[in-house]
Amino acid sequence: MTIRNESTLAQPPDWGLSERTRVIMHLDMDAFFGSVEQAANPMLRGRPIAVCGSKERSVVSCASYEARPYGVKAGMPVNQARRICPSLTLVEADISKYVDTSMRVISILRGFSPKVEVYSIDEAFLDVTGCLLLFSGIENIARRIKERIRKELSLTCSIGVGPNKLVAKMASEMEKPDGLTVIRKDELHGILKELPVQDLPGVGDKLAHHLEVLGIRTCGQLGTAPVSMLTRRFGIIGQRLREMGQGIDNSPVIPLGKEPEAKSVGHSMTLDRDISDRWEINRFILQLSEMVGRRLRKARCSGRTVTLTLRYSDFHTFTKQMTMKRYINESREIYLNALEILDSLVLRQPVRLLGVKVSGLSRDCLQLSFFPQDRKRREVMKVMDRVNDRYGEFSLTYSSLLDNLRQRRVITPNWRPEEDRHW
Amino acid sequence: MQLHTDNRIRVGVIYGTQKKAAPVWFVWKGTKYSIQEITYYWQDRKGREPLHYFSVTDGDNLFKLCFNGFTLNWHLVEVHQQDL
Repeated sequence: MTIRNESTLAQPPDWGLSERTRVIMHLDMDAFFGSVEQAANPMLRGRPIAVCGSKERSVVSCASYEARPYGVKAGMPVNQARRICPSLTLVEADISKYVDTSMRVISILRGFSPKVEVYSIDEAFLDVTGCLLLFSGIENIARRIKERIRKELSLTCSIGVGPNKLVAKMASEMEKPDGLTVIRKDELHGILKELPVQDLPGVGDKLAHHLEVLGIRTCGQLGTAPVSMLTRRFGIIGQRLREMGQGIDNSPVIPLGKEPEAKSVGHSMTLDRDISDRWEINRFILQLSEMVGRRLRKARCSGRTVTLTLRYSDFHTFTKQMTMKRYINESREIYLNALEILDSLVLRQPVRLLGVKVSGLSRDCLQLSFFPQDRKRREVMKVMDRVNDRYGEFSLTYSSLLDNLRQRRVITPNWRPEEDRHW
Repeated sequence: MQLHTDNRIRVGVIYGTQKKAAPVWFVWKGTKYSIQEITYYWQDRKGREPLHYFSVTDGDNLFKLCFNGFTLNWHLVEVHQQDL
C-alpha cells in the first residue's frame, strides 16, 4: 500500500485496468495553520500550540502535532484546550499568512498538473493522469511536490494517490504527517474490506452510528449492503453510500476557475463576549451585512433569501431565513431583512455567535428603482465601494460600526483564491 | 510577550538578483537591530496597496515588519519577546 521503494519510482504505476483509469492525488497540508506559525516563529517550534480566532473565546482552528497527544483538536473551545494542555501556547490566527501560503502551494501544484482543484485552504486534488510520463511516475511527482513545499515554505504535507478523489483522500489520511500513500485499484477491495466506515470522507460519527444500527461497521459491509435498505434508511444518498463502500467515485477534478457558481454568500463571527443588548446585536448584524453585501457586489451577484444564524451562550444554534420577491445586494437591505428576522425571535439567552447569509443568487439581476432616494442611496453605496476597493475594507463605513468595528478575517470551508474565484 | 505596534521604521534592505528583497537591519526606538534570519515571508493587500510581511529575528526576539509597496514605507507591526 505505502510504497517508498526507489526502484519503482521511475516506473509509471500499473493502474491496471482500462485506459480510462484515472490517477488522482490528494494533498493535505499537515496541521497547516499551526505549522505556518511554527515556521514563522522559531519560539513556537517543538511546542504544543493551538491556532484560534481569539485567545479568550472561540474554538481551536488547528492544533500542532505536539498538542494533539494531549487531546487538543480543531473545534474544541480554547478554554477546554487550555485545561487539558496547560503548556499550550495559543496563537491568534493570521489569515493573510495562511492565504498567501496556500496560494504558493497551489502555484507549486500547478507546475505539475493543470488540473488542480482547491478543496479547501489546506487541501487540493490533482488529476495527474496525463502527467505521469512527463515526471517519471506518480511517486516521483509526489516526492518532488513534497520537496518543493518543504524547501520553499518549510512545511510538510501528506499525499494520497488513488484511482479517484475518494480513494486519494482516504489514502492521504492513512499516513500523517509527511506521508505518501498509494492505493492501486487492485488493492482497493482488500483495503476497504475491514476499513471502518468512519474512515470514509464525509462519514461522521452520526452517520456511522446510523449505519451501525443497520449492522454496517466496515466499508466492505457497506459496499455489499442492499441499495434498497440504504435508500430506505438514508434516502437518495443510499446509492452513493454503497458506491463509497466500494471505493467508487466518478466526480471529476474541477480546476480553478471552472467551479460551479456559488449558491450563497455568508459570514459569521463569534463575539468577544456573549451579548444581549439589541443595539449591540444590531451593530454586528450590520457589520456582517456589509461584509456579505461587499462580496455580492464585487461578484455582481444579488440574492433573494436572507438567513440569520444565532448561537446562544449554551451553544444552541439555530437559523431562520426570509425570501423576498426581488433580488438585493445592498448592505442596508440585507441588514434590514436580517433585523426583520431578528424581530420575529425571542432571544432566550445571550448571543455568542451571529451569522448572515444571502442565497438564491443571480448574476447581474437588480431591480431599478423609481424613487430618487433609492437611486441616491445606490450612488452613495457605489462611492463607498470604490473608496473601500482603493483603501481597504471598512475604510469608509457606517458610523455606528466605528465603536466596535472588528473586521476579523475568517476562512470559510469553501475558500478559494480570490483572483481565480468564479461566481 | 506579544506587542502590537504600527511604528514607521528605518530599514536597511539588500535587493537580490531574483526579485528578492531582504531586510538586514532596522531601527526602532533609537536601537538598531540586526536581522539574523527571515523566518517567514508573505503578502497581503489593503485595498490597492500591496503589503509585504517579513517575520524576522535578531536572535532573541521575533519582529513582524511590513513593507507597503504603494507608499514605500516600512512599519514594525508586531514584537514577540523571548519570555513567551
